[in-house]
Formats: sequence, C-alpha cells, structure tokens
Amino acid sequence: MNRERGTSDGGDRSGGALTRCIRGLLALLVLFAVPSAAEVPTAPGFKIGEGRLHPFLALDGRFDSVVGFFNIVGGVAQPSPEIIFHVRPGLKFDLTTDSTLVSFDGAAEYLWYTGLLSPSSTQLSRFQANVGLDAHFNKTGAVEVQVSDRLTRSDRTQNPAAGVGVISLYNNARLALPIHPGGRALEVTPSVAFGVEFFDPLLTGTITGCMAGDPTCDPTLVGQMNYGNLTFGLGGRWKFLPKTALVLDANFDYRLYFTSGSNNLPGMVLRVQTGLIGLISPRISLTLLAGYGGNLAADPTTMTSGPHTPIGHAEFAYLPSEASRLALGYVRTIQPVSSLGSFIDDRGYLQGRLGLLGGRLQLNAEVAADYFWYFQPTQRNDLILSVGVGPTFIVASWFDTTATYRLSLRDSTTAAQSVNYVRHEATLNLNFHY
Amino acid sequence: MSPRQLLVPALVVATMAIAQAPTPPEAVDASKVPDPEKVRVSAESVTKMRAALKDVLTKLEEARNSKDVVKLNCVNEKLTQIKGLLRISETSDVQLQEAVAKRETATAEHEFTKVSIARGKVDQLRAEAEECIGQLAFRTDENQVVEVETPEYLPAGDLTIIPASFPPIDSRPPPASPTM
Repeated sequence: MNRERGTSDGGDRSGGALTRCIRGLLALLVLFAVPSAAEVPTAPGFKIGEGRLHPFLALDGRFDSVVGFFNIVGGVAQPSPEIIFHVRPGLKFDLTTDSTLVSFDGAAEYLWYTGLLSPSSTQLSRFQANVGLDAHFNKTGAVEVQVSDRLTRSDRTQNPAAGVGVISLYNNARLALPIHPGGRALEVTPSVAFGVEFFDPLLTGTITGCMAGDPTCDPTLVGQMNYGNLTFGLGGRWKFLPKTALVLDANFDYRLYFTSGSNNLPGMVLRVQTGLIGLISPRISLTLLAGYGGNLAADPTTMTSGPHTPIGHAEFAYLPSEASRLALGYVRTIQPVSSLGSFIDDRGYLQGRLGLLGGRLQLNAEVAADYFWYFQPTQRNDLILSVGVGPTFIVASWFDTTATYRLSLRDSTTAAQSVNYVRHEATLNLNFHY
Repeated sequence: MSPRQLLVPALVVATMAIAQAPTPPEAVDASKVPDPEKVRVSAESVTKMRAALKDVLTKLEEARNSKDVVKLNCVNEKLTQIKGLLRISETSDVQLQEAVAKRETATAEHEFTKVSIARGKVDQLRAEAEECIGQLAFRTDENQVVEVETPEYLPAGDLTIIPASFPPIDSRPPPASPTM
C-alpha cells in the first residue's frame, strides 16, 4: 500500500511537473506568437508642424581589449584593455508627407576612458559628434530633389588604409535628382556628392613596425592623408515587378588632396555595374550586380593606371517575417584611398536578424571578412574579420537596450603593430528617447 | 424638290463620308415593310438611339474626369452628331405615325427610311465614341495615373535600392603608444 501510495504520489509529482512544464511552454509560445511588429511601441515625440521631434539620450558601457599600447613589457608595447563610458544626447526630427521627407539627427558624444584597467588611457577621453540631414522634395513629381549632408567626428574613419588610431572629421554632402516619368516604375537618378575628411592623431607616439615616413601609421603624418572626394553618379532602375528591379549604377570618384608635398597617389575611380535587385519569391530576395571598376589615374612614377577589375555584389536573403532576415553575400569593389591611390575590397558576409515577441526582441548576428588589396607603391594586403552578436530589447516606447559582443581580427602584410591585432568588445547600450 | 426629299440623300452622304470602323446596317427597303411594322420598328429605333445618347453622355463624363482635352473633344464631336440625328429621328417618327394614320404610303416610307438610316449612323457614332476612350487610353500624359497593386503578403519597404558602393568598415586601429 505504502509503495502504491508512494508510486501514486510520485506519479502526481511527475504529472505536476509535466503540467507546469507544458504551461510554461504554452506561456512561452504565447509570448513568441505575438504576430506583428505593429505592436512595437514607438516614441511619440513633440509635434512640430507636420513633423515630430524626438530627444534622446544614449548611455553605453563598453569593454575594449585594445584601446591602445600603454603597457610596456620587455621593451614591447602590449595591447591595453579599458572600460569606456559613452554619453550621447541628441535630437531626431522626422517629417514625412506624400511629397516631402525631412529627416534630421544630431548627437554629441563624450567618451570617458575610466582608467580602471589602463590608467594612461584616460588621455583618450574626448568629444565626438554625428549630425545628419536628409531631405526629399517633390517625391510624387516627375523630378524629385534629394539633398543630404552628414558630418561626423569619430575614430571610425572612411579610410581603411589608416593603420593608426585617428580622429576623423568627415563631411559628405550629396545632391540627387531622381527622375521618374509616368509613375515610379522607371527611375533615373543623376547625383553629385562632395566629401572631405581630415585626420588628427588620437595620440602621438610610436607604432612598432611602422616604416618611417608612412602617413598611414605615423601619427605625426596622418594629416597628409586629408582629402576631398568628388563623386558623380548615375543610377537607373526599372521596377518590372513591385519589389524587383533591373538596375544600372555608375559612379566616378575624383580624389583631391589638400596637403602640398604629400605623396598621395592620384585616384580617379570609375565603377559601373548592372544587374537585378529585389524579390524573386515572397520570402527570398536576390542582389546580383556585376560590372567594371578601375582607377583611371596614372601613377606619376610608373605612368600606368590601374588597377582595373571586375566588381559586383551578390546577396541571397531570406525574409521569414518583417522583423527577421538572414543574408549571405559577397561584394567586390574598388575605391580611392589616401596615400595608396586605390584599393580593391573583397567582402564576404553573413547577417542574421531574428525578431521575437512581435518585434520587441531582436537577436542580431553578423560575420564579415574583408580582404583589401593595395597595389601601389608596393603590394599590401589587409584582412579584417569581425564577428558580432547581441540582442536588442524594446522595453517601452521610451526605452530600449542592446547588448553586443564583437570580435575583430586585423592582419596585414605590413609589420605595423596597430594593423595586426585581435580585439574583443562587449557593449551594453541603454537608449532613452521620447 | 422638297426639303424632306433633300434630307434623305444628305443623310446617306453624311453616313458614307464618316463611315469608319463599324459598318452601319443597310437601310431596309421600306416598301416591303407593312405600315404597323414601320411604326413599331421606328419607335424601337428611337428608343435605341436615346440609349446610345445616354451611353455617350457617360463616356463624355468619363473623358471630362480624366481631364484629357483630346478625349473630351473626340467624344463631344460624336455626341453632337448623335443629338442631331436623334432630333431628326424623333420628328420623323411622329411624321411616320401621322402618315400611316393618313395612309400616305410614300411619306411613311420616306420617314421610315430616315429613321432607319439615322439608327445605323447612331450605332456607328456610339462605337466611335468608345474608340475615343479606348484607343486613347494607351496615350500617356501628365494626367495619366498608374496604380500598382502590391500584394499584402510581400515584405514592406523598398527592396530595390542600389546598395552603397562601399559598405562602412568597422575598423578602429588602436593609437600609437605614447610611452615608447
């Protein structure tokens, strides 16, 4: 009897555990089955005319395993880790009507290097900024006018050849005139853009392995890489289905350098590519572009132009829902670059975004590998491999939070220590907005 | 020659002059149609012509809404002719009934022939008015609106934007060592 009772009790307990388990699973399913991203709360903002003004404050805490080389062990500079806090207040303004779009965002940022792990790193504390304006007028007319400008001050440069930490002051202004006669199925977009970038050293000092007089890694010479870039573009797009188009894209970059006596090689880079972009089924999107790219400027020493190369972009994307996307792609492009004239980049990438809880929770992951080819004055190759993962959770209309882990590996055929490193970064971002 | 006798050849000539796409039905031999049948067919023809007028008026409204002057003028021209023919036919129909009542065979045949020719002409003008709208629908101008219906199950947003020629590189080389 006792045994039977005991067995019976055990059955009740296991049955209860099973019931609780099923209830838990059901609750989880209910949470995950929230059907649409339309329930994601959005910040109301202050109404100004027909637009909305959204103030925001972003607070980041970040661990970076390589903020510099502050520790010397055995006469060799060692990578130094640090904890950094970012405070980024800003404003965002959006105005969208049938015929007009005005979007402005501006943020100032202070980076506080705490000195907790590497006391000398506190000298890297600084202000950064990011301001952008994008305006589209006469969107429904035959000729649309698009004007945009972006100004950034940060340590993220547009120059992949830079082999030492720099502060980049970058501005790019663009004017485009999309022409779409008789509806929007056919669109031709001539454009012109002018960008400038000025470099200042983050810190002065020495980089182990840097060749004397090399502006890409000598902090005292980085100003020689200052440049202006004039870009003429012509894009054509024919939407033969609502979400699928044949495109033609042509761009010409003319590179100007501001420092007299610097040894920057000239850059006059032409890129022309054509192909197909868009959906090939309700859930699968393709990008297939191929064409030609080349630096048409002649090297003053060898009097030869180049490189000339095929370029393209191939991407396969699976879109299981509005908030989820999985993309696998490959890009080959050629761009002008300070000091070295031009470079070819081969990039492979895998990006994933999974939206859960009706879009409130997003899981993001990305793996990208860039292989850079520099041909002048001597051959140089750089590899940048990055892996990033992390969730974003929208807690309320006024608050969301993101956690990210990123691994970056950079390897180069040059011996400079600052282009041969492995970096681990962990970031927690708290974003308050109205 | 009386005005009535002049009107029949005039109608025939007009019909031949404007003869286009749909061929008008040939006028029946009035002498072979019994008088009561003449009255019935004439009344029916007038009713049909009124319906044609109403139909072309709808097309005029359609052309006016499209704000297309070419279409509007084209339909208006047909409408004016139909109105004239209908007016003549209504008068002839009354005179036909009088002639049948008075047993004036020649007059009755004459009026019946006029109504028959007018009906054929109105049918032709009605078809031409349809062509005004239909054929010109392929002409595009600033008033032409193309509506593309996108299935709701497709992902939102424009998926045909040409990607940037150089994706941003997330690389920040560390600064120089100030201690070396």
